[in-house]
Amino acid sequence: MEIKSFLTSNPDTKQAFQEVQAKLSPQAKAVIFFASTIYDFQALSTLFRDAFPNAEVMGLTTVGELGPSGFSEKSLTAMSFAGAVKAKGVLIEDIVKYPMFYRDHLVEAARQIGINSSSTAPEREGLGLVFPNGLVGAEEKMLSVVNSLFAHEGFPLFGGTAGDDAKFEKTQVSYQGQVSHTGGLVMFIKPDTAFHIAKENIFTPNGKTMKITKADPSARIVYEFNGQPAASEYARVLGTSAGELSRYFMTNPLGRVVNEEVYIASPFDVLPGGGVKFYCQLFEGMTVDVLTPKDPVATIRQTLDTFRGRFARLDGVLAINCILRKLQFQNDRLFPALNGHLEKLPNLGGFCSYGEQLNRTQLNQTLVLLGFGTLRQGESA
Amino acid sequence: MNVLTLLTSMKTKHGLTEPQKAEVLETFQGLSESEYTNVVKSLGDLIGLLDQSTSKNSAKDSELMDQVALLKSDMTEQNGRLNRSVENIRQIVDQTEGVTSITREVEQQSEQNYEVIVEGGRSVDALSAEIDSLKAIFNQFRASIQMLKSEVSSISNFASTIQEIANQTNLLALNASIEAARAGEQGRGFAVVAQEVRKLADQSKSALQEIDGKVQEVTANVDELDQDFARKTSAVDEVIEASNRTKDVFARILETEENLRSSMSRIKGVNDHIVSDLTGFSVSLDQVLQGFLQSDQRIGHLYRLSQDKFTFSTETFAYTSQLGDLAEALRNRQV
Repeated sequence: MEIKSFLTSNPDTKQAFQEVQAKLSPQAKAVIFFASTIYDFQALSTLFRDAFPNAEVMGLTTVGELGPSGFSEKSLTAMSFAGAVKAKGVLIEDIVKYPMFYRDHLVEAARQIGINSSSTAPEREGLGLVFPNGLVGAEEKMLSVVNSLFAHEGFPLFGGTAGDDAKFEKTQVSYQGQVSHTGGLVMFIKPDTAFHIAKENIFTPNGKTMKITKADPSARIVYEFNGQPAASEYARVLGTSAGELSRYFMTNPLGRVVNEEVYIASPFDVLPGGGVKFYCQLFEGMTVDVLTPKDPVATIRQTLDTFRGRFARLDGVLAINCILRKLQFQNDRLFPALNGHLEKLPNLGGFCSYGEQLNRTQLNQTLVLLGFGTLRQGESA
Repeated sequence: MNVLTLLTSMKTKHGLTEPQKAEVLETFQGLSESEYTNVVKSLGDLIGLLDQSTSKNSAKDSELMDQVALLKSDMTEQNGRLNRSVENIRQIVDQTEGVTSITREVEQQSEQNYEVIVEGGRSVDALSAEIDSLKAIFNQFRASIQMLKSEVSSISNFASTIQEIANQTNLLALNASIEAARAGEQGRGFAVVAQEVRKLADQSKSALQEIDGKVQEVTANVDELDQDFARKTSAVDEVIEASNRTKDVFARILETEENLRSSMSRIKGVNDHIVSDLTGFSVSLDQVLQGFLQSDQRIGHLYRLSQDKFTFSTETFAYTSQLGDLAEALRNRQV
């Protein structure tokens, strides 16, 4: 697959677009752009659609961009996918209430590029990219509808939630020039090469656990841990006060450890009543581990070494990094060290997100990597 | 009632019966207002119930995962203990094998010792025999010396006989001299002879004295030799006694060595038994460990299953929440 990526920090919407467009494949089958909120998003969406009339064109606002040199801010980055790859996008205009209305569209889009939704081995049918809008708490609903297409489990889904440069007002996504701030994007891809997905975790349990005794999963709120008001109990376990708790959100999220794999649930806000709102659903009865960070630079080096080791030839990488990780890296001034490793990835593009999606699950505080290319002998996606 | 029947009945202008009218009305309007309200309400209720069940299900899934997690951590702990036990057993086996090898070395050493002791015993026996024969030779010597002494003393007797003969000869010669003097001139020659005989007798006497001195000397030497032999014989006796004691010591060493050998062989037997028991135990423990590992894999599987189940619960939750929105839309007759 021919993948190209480019990033510019030119603050002018049109000039930035032109700089980026010039570096992408004119005969691209799919183009995805990731834009800071400093740009006019509607204008960008129209410009990209018009420049690539034969491509599936998607875009979204972010909370930081990832380009060939790694992390960036207040910039525009884009990726083009060309070659024998087939792609078909769908804009689910409403992921909050009625994503189900778009199920038929999704079925049709998958069918058009030859993805067999009743396959007994859906992992061999291709993959889907998902980009839900943020701040509407609808990632799980969107994932459930996309996953509902497949009779058997295993179809790879990969994506991230749009951001708005940490203003927490409104995120935007667009498909073929049409902009939405309540919807979500899905792009089915039938690649002409192999692909491999990796997930990085920089947290490890600190040995303390809490049991969720009262929660409202649909609102993503936990009211009580261990039978105590959530914020004060969370703070107590960390040895701090409820007022100081939010300062620990970046470094001490909660998680579930399943078979040595850590699934992170990131806290988002302390609510006036003492509840804690999260970036993902948490259920009553769950026991969660309190997490503590590992060395991010050593971890990313290991992650990327392993990731690149899977490929005999790596054409390009789509990377999605959680906002909280980005803030932590920024606080600790780690961008130069991390970029030193990231820039070794060929044709890297991506963004910092308000949530990451992998297969059937909404993740937090994670870096997900999707690479296309030729895998080493004996390796599988 | 289908549309065709309705049209037919209208065409024949027979009019409609009351039940038919109601049926026609329903065909055109679908659900009555109250039916519609009921359906929507029941739908809402069912969604609510579904939601409740899903929540309970999620809670149970969480509990299940917690239990599996506990089980897994228990297993990990047990596994650790088991591994430590296996390690301990391995160490004990190693140590026991160490003891066995030491026992073997001691046994070999003892074998060598035994040979040395037997050899030593034989040497002592040989020495003892040599000393016995030496003692016999000494005894023979002493007998010879006694004999020599008696021979020497018979020489001495013989010498005193000769002395007496010499004395008598001297006396006879004196007598002869006297007789010769009486005979005068004729006896002069005889007197000379007598004189010579006396000289001879005197010479014999002095020779005898010399002999006597020599005999005395010989006797003294022989006595000294005898005493010397007596002393040597008693020294030989002491050697014999010492060598007998040595023989006893060797015999005791041999006995001890034999006891040691039998102890060693008992230790070896017990050790072999322990090693074989421990090996058997170790094999059983390994089997248990394998069983544990298998169980651990199963628990891993169970964990994945409960995680999957949890994901499905989340999806069901996403579906019921959409169903709720749809019921709401039905109720309000707008999306």
